Amino acid sequence: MTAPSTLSDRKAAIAAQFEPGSQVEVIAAPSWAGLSPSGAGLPDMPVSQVLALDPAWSRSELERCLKRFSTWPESSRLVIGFPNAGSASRILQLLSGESEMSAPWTDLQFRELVQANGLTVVTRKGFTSSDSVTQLAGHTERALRQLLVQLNEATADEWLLYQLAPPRERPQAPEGWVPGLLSVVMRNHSTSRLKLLDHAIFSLAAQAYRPLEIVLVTQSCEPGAVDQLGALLRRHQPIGGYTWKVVSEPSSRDIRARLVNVGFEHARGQYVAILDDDDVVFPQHYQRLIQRIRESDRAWAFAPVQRAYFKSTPSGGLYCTLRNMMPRSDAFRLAELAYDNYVTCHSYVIDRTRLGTFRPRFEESLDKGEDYVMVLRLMALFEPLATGGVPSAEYRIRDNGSNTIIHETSDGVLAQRIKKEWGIAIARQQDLTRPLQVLLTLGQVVQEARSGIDQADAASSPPNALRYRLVEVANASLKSKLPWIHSSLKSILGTRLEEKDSRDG
Amino acid sequence: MAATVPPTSEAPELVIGVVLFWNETAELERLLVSLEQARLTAGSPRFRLEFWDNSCSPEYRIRLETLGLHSVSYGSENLGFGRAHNRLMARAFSAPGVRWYLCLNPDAVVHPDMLSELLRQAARMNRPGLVEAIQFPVEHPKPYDAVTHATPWCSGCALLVSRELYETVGGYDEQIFLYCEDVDLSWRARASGFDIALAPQALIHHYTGDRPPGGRTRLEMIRAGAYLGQKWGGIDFSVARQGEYEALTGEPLKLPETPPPTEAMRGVAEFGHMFHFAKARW
Repeated sequence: MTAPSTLSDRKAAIAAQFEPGSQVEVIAAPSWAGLSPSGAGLPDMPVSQVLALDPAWSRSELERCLKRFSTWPESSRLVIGFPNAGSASRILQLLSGESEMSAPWTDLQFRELVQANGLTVVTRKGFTSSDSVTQLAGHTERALRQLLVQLNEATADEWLLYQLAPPRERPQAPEGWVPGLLSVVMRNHSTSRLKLLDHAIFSLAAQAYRPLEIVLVTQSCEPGAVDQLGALLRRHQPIGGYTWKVVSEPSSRDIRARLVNVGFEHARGQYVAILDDDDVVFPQHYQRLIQRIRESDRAWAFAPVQRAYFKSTPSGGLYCTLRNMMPRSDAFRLAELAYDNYVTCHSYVIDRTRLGTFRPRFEESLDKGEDYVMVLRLMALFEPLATGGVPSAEYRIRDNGSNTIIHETSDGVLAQRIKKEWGIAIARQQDLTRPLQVLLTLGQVVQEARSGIDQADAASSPPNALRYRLVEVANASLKSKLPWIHSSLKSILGTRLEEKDSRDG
Repeated sequence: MAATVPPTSEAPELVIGVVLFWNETAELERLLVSLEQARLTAGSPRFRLEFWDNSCSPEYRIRLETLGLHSVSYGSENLGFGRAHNRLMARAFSAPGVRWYLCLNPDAVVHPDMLSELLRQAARMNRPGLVEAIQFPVEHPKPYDAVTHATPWCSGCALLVSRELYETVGGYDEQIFLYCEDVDLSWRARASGFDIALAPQALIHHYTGDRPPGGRTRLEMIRAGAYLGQKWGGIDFSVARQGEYEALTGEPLKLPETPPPTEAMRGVAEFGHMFHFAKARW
């Protein structure tokens, strides 16, 4: 939605949010002039919607007003529209000295007030603007805006509209994440996978790291599924000493990304990790990752992973035919990670206290590569720490088509279908991640480029090595586009380029 | 303190033997809790726990007593893995109702279904001698038959030994202090016509992938390998290990005399794949 520029546009935009026929009373426009700081301007008998625009009060004034509203009947609604002081445009205008802080509230500050008063957010609408707002070069402003949006999605909103409801219960202080607690989010799609899940939980029960919480989110619609999953968790709990909860998010379609996001919302831990119901972790996995995070200033760390390939046996079991290291999972290399995903979802731990307003979320518009999009978004702002060393988790791949990747399934139709779905998913992934801005120093870029060139050189015979090919391309380009510089360089470099030119004709 | 597993009044069909050597208390507590979970699982056999402590330390003895362990035997010297298990095995099978003995590592965690799955696998075999639990989360790379689950040798980490096997071929070879005694017992079982197998549904959590290789560990492994090679006709393998030992210690390795291997022994021994003793799957 584009931000309405005039007051009447804003009113129209707000009115469009309500059901036709709703009774909306505009009590203050454009600056709450009809309301006193004590909230005395609010009607005594609440109407269904009360609209207030452009609050220009101090925090304490708005707080008093919200507190008064919190005593209204449950069916009451208060709608507040205000310019977002934390929008990318305003931040950039402020930083470039082109305006003073003109709006009193950021989205985050407003939400904190709402939460502190126990109010419920019924609707939140953001209005964006793509207009250039500074004297900066257009591409620079766009890149900076993009970075801000990646860090905090609300910076995209120039203007905000909140529809609030009074609290159902007494306001409660917001709870923070439990320090030191690791929440492992698990997702489950069906009770047909209980055997796999049992192994995954058993591997968690033997983890060296404590305290541990398991949040198992299931989309199973089968009757008794939650009880069965709870029984599995209860069975291994005496060994693992963890706390656990099962969250039901029933759905008949594949909502694998949503399951993780729901798990994140229920997770209480400072640290979060993800474990799919068909993978396993080794005993030191989380201890090693969290120790490395604590010793560093990073927000997340990943460990090397090994892959295990299983064939189905006639009795319905699984027979492991091969184990090997997941390529490249021993180190962080931006270009390689941007090319394809080697940071599997169970290979990392995130410290949520180091992410600021960034909220890790799987991409719900995808059911393949949904974790990859989050990894790229995370990596763009928060450079991960790679523990290196021996693998401490295992990615399990079966031949019966029950993975999202294709591996030796004999079902040609299934393989074709998965391949086609992957093609669509990859295109979508690329659309979503192509605009990402990445925080990286030039030194890191050079180091990575050099590493890539050295590898290419090592893999090639000397005349075809990448560095020679690059020199050739640069030489030809210089000669055709800037011949006078080419001549000067030739005279400086002496005979080598002459010889090459004569050789190339 | 962890829940302990007291002996039951009913005669068990299974005795579980655990040989200790300075194991961490937390490790033992976890093992005991996991055994208690197995006991509560439907289909698990009745069992009794027996410990043998090789630590030979009054201090460690106090720790074990504090833990509330029942049935601990304290040796006056470190007998090593095989000899200690042999003591426990002899005692276990002296009771007529005991059909099985389970060698169990103290640093392992038992899956609740492990005991019932081990017995289920044994029931599928014609002449069950040994059944090993599959190690988890990373199994040993040695092969096994995907249908019968027969395997060239069984690991001693969680190894079910049948009474018939014990009474026919005995326990572990007491010439071996540590390592490879399970390979030797497996080959003796096969050479005597017993079936040995892995139980893929019986999980024992035992992970050593992050342990640094120790010098003493390596020497014990080399010594055991050299002896195994000499006993079972892997002369080249044995000589190579003796050379390694001498290179590491500066002293020649003295091995006890062994009779020449029989044809049946040569038929089961496999020295072409180093300490895997079989062609590894990966």
